[in-house]
Amino acid sequence: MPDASSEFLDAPIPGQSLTTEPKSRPWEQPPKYTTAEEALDFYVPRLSDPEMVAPMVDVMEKGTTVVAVAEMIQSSGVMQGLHSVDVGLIIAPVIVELLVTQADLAEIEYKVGTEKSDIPDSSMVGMAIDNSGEDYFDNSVEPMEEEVMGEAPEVQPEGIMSRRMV
Amino acid sequence: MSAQILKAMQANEMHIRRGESAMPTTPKGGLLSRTGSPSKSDVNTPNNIASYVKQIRAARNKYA
Repeated sequence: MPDASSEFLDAPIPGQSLTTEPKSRPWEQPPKYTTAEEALDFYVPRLSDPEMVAPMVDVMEKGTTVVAVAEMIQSSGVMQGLHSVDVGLIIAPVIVELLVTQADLAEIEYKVGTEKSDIPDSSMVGMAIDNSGEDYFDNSVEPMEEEVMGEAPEVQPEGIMSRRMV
Repeated sequence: MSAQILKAMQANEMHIRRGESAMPTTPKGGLLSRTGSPSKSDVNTPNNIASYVKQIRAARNKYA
């Protein structure tokens, strides 16, 4: 059964990218399309074709958000050396719109990823807990009563070698 | 990365709202130009992205 630790072990180890020949990977080469317009010229015909988008529509129907699919498309473009990450982010709104259009045409239910969630952000919850903790829990320290120490009675030495008071 | 895509979408929406009346539906220039010859000159990327988004939305409202 897969768990979180197995996913952690699948991650690349630090420095693994340096074990291959420099510039041997597609993303280490200069990108094929350097402008957003050129990249869109590549993506728009492909994402307008219902047959090519069919697997993505299936994924969206199963609950994956449109933004996540757009992210997958643009990061795979970066991995193939088609465009840079920057260009991928610039064209992302167009990819999202194209995917939404295809989802509408396919008449499926989908989530874009911009919907407001009922579950608050974890950082907001953390801040609320931190702030409420000060009021809710009484963390004040009560002053301790000081014991008044009386003077100890004088103890006479009682050992064998002790001097006797005459 | 999803957060950055959402930011890009918000920035694009802001760009569309600011120049909604002035912005053409088709890109004026650049590779996506439909009114002129596609060229690398006269490229205004934010305008081109915004107008492409507007075109796609118009097509969606009409056909989907």
